[in-house]
Amino acid sequence: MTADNNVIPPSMETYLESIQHNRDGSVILGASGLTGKTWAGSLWFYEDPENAPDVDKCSAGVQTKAGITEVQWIDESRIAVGSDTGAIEVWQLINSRSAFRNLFYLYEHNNIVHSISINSNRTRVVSGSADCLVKIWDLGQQVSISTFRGHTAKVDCVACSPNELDVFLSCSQDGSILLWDTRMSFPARRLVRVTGASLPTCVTWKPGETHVFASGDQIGNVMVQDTRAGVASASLSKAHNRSVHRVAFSSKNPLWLASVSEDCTACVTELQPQLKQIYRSYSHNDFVQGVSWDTLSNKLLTCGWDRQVITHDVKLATDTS
Amino acid sequence: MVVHFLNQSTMARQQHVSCGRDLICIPDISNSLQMATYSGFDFIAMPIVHPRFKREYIEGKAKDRKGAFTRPDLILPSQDWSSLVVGKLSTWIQVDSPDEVVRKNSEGALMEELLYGSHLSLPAIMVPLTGPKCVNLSRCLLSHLQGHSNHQVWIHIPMVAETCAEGIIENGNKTVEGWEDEESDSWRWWSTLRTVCNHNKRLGIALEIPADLPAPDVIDRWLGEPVKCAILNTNVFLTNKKGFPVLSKAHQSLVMKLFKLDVQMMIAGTNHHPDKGIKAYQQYLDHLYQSQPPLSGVDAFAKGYEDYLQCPLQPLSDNLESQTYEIFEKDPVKYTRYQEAVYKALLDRVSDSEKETRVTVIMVLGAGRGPLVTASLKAAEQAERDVKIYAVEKNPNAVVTLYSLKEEKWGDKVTVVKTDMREWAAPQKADIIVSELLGSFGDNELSPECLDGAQKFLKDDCISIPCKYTSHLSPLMSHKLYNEVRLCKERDKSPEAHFETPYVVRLHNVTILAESQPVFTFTHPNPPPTDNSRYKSLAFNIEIESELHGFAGYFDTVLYGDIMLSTEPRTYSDGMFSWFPLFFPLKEPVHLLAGSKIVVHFWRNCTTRNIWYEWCLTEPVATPLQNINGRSYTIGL
Repeated sequence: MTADNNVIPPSMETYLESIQHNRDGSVILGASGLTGKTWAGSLWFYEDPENAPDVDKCSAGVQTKAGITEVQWIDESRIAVGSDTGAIEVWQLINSRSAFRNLFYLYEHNNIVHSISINSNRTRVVSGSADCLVKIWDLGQQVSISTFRGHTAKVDCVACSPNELDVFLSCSQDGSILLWDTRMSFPARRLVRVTGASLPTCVTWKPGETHVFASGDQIGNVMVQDTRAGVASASLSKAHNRSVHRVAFSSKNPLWLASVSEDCTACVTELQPQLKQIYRSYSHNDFVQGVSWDTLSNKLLTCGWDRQVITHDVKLATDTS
Repeated sequence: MVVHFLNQSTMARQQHVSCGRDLICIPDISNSLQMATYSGFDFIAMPIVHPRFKREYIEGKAKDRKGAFTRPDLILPSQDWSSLVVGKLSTWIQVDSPDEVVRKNSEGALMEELLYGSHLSLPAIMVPLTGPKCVNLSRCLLSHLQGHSNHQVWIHIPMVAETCAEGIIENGNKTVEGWEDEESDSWRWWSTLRTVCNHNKRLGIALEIPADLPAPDVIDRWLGEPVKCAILNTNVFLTNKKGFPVLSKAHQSLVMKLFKLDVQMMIAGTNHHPDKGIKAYQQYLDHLYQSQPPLSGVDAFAKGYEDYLQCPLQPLSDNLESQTYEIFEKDPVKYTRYQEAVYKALLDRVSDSEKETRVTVIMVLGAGRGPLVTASLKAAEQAERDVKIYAVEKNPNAVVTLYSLKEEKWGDKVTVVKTDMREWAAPQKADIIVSELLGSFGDNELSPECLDGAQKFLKDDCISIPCKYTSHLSPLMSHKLYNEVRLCKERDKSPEAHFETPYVVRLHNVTILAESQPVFTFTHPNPPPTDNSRYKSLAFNIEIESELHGFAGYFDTVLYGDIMLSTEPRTYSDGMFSWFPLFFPLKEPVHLLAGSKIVVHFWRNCTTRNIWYEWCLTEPVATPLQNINGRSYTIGL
């Protein structure tokens, strides 16, 4: 199977894994083939997110060697992709963003890369893999600069701090969430597990604050915690009744935390005065995997294994309810 | 090929190492299989279902997900599935999760994947075991194994539990879940699983070899388990001066031991030597395999007999066959030592001044086809002493050979006597008696009873060669042997009889848990009143947590002076193959904690018709007495 950069794949795999908005409102979408003869993947770009996931209306599309786990924008035209091969693939949109070109692969992990995150000045990628390792890569030099064995089971999610260059979070099936600061002599610190929480599955930083983050777990809880404080300051809410795949704060309204789950729903939890679900969508028919807020319109986009990309107007829904 | 090894290994060593490739990402199976084969691998390990394809079994829209749950079997011909592919289960499956939803969904997925693997006729399925809580996993596996599948189950387990690297995490211990010390011993996880699965014989281990090898006793413990496959991550390899991947000396030594156990190898992880190709790893392992020294001595003789249970011979009640004599006569060590013993005995017995006048009467009791007679004659010639030899043998078939040897080789010095030594009315009394009536446990072929029967024709100062023999016992662990004994169940015998009899076996896939200790000793000549019954209790200190499946039996014997023969490992007579160890099984395996003590009791009981052994434990637990009154096993007089 060749990844011919200029040929848009004739069809899109069913399992839509990850969707991310660019600052201008366009989206990148990653899909995986998880059943069927070949387990490949594809990457898609839509100038207008309303067109997703229609193959005929995409702006650019390309087949990837293997399934995609997560997509992240590096800058206006470059995208980092976590792959089932264990590589992080870096792609660029060329020709007025109508085609993809592969720039390079970062290939050292021994197993699937479940999550990638770009650091705050866009020079580094952090990756978490099923080989239990967290790696930091320098995008300019295209090499890994650190490898950390801080987990004893697969790393499900990594999230770079939007404010501090050397800080990121990682969470794993071994049950721990680690706060990393590579400037310290002990680069990682295990955060206290919130009472009632199960194994963590995803983490994300709260915009506008340096120490607050949200996480989801495998039984459906979403938690908001301060990295400096103990258990007492954390809050927990059972947003779903299956594993939460990803959580994302709205940058326009940081009190809104979106979460998507294997219970086939997408929901938004409001943080104040207490964690409370203010919106839930039942429109998906299978696991909901990807979630992203449009920074301009504050609309929420989710994608899932039912091959749907759904737009949610949370403000509208909550205003009218 | 994923090679199936039968009970008995093939007689000749395989030509090449059997090495597979662990694949994570397989967008296209045929392609991956082709590439692996091209790189010299014999098989691949691949996920049965995409590793990220979580499924819902309880309720909700996801439960009704349409479509197949994995790729179709049509992609490969069934021949390929059943010989080239080892299936891997999804790692998101946590059947021992405390959360009920996670557990139930995991159970659904586990059974689905196991059944599909069976449907594909995969020869083996790898099941990951990552923590001490594994009872539900054990239950699910056992339930599946009772069904209609044929494949092996390889429990994929690290030799040492995964820990975080040093100096990374500021707070907290290295193991995440707050395991107690014992719980982080991965051998213990395996021990729990296989015990709950009742030592199922289809369970094997795919052992992940770490970059830092643990202490020797930790490694040795794994060598007594049914390790089917050893997984070497490319991280474990070093790079030599020419840029090729190689293993450290310690790893090489471990790999050589694994080769002896017919363990298949598997290379996992990304290629860290891209200019040499992934082939380089397989080629290196094959190079190690080829560099094994050819089998010699006892190893060559015993090839094919490893862990193969045999009923002990009863030469007293049953006559040995020609072929059996022929095999024993080839022992390069035994007869040389006997000859030396007779030589020394003659010199001690007859001084230089007497050598012209005195004729020493030597009786070879149990002469067989004559090798001890020949050895005695040679010794006499070497010592320049005159001898008259009686060759006494009860097996009328062997006596035929004795007569012909007397005619052709020995001449008048030798008198052949066709009789049981216990019934012989000897015309003279003996100066020296020479016998080899010993079994793997020394006295278990009834040498004491036979030689007692000869007492009446021994001179008062008669020398017996051997003059003493002692049996020894060591506690042992062997999942394989325990299963071999279970297979020996016979319908027309009592349901536990197969556990109440010892077996002669070349011990191979076993771990000896403590150094052996002496049990019963017999000395000869043994003037009346004689009592050959014995009782002894032995205490063994156990250093490392393990499982007790039975005892290995050895013996040593003093032929004369300082000339000895021994099968006891510390004093083993190099090159001597006439005796394999004995194995006394325990009906139920006994779990042993580190630092615990075993107290085992052995009896040798006698009647006018039979001799037999009885045994049981009293520490760490009391066990029922085995073979009471010789109900399952006796040696006939």
